[in-house]
Amino acid sequence: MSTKPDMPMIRVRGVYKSFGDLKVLDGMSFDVARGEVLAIIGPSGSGKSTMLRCLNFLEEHDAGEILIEGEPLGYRVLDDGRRVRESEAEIARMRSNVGMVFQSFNLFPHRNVRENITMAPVSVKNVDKAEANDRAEALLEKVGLAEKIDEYPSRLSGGQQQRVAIARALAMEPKVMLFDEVTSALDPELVGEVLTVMQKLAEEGMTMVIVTHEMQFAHDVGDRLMFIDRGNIVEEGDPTKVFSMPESPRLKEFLHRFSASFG
Amino acid sequence: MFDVLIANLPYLMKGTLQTLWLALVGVGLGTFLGTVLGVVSAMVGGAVAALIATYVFVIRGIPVLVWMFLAYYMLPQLGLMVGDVTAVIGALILYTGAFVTEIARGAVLAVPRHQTEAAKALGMRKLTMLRLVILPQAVSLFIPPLLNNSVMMIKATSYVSVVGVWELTYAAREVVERTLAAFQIFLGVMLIYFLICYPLTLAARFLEKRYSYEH
Ligand SMILES: Nc1ncnc2c1ncn2[C@@H]1O[C@H](COP(=O)(O)OP(=O)(O)O)[C@@H](O)[C@H]1O
Ligand SMILES: [Mg+2]
Repeated sequence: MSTKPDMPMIRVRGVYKSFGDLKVLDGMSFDVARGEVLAIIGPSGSGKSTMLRCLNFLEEHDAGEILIEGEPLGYRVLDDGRRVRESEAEIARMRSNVGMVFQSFNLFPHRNVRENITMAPVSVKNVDKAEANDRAEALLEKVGLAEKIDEYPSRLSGGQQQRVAIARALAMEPKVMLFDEVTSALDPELVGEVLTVMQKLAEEGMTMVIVTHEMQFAHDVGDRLMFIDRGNIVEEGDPTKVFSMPESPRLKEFLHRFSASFG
Repeated sequence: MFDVLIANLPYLMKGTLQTLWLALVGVGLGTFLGTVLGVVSAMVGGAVAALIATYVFVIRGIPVLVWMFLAYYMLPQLGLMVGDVTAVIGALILYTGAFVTEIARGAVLAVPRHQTEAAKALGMRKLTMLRLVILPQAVSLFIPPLLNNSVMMIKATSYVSVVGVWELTYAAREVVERTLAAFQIFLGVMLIYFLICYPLTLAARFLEKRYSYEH
């Protein structure tokens, strides 16, 4: 498939998602441009993770459309409005373009760092083993863990594991990276090393969607900030502006509570 | 003091070989069957899993001894002219398969969901994910109960003697009828079963411990 430079990297149109009776995404629509860093904030349970997980089809949206570089993700919407589920192969192919980093790292515990990073390129994209290995070494260098290449995940600190997880996702050469509260499970002194890596990625022009509670980071690294609550986008725009002049009462209250609890 | 046992040991050894052969074929193929069914059930779900669950439920709900009788007497009535050895091996395979299905299914389902999500997010398809992520992690949960199950099924091979299939227990009964030295002979038979099963039990216990340290 050729890339479509005129299309945004991500386009979300009227996405709804419920778990049983619980409506979690209530018609979300937004775009993420190529190279843009979108930071998403919001109260716990507001649907941030669900939205992010929809962007690589780990959650399946009930209605609406998600396009990655113009290509529909998960479901193709026909002219008559019917939705057709894509094949497993097609879904996997789309996912291989979208990297994801989880709160709980989710490294493969039975494989060492090198194998964690080379596994997907070799088995999914048929990258040559030697080449995948070179790439793993380069990526580990980049996240500052070159000397850990032969360690097993259980021997690494949380911050190190998370940096390996970032390297693992980058090894697939994704067009977009998704981050779901990737520093929330870390001891405070380990947060910085992970954020530094993410900042570097952003500066290199990676398209990123970052769900975070690190307000300072969202402010500094985000090109755009989105505040969601109860499955709706309540406010979005330039981070400095949104933080300094929040308009909606809900965002005001949210920021107030945050500054109260975090000083 | 154990002169009768010693004199009949070669005969009992022949029976032991037959027992081992039954165990190898019956438990081996049953384990293979159960592994496939268990993994399929866990990975596919839906109607397929329901069908497999029914098989497990029916087989496990009835004693293996009854299955031996059923296989022995029913198959010929259904027009299947299989030998008695084939019939009891079939029963052993189905019975082992049912237990192993549950073990394999449980082991696969015990791999944390976040592991499969990580694999999916990397673009892996189901079979790749199964091969590289799920099975290697499930195997440590699979092997110890599998060994224990094998022990159980090896002992269950002694039931085949009730429908006249010759193996160690049958051979022992023959010798006892001839020599009336029940105590010696069955003591010997006990020892033989023990020598076959104990190493497996030990291995299971060892692996259980080793894997529990890893996690
Ligand atoms: N798999 C699921 N099944 C049922 N409810 C879920 C599931 N995932 C999330 N939820 C619910 O959906 C709501 C939004 O969750 P989530 O997207 O994780 O929120 P956030 O990431 O903003 O904290 C919560 O009420 C949560 O309990
Ligand atoms: Mg969340």
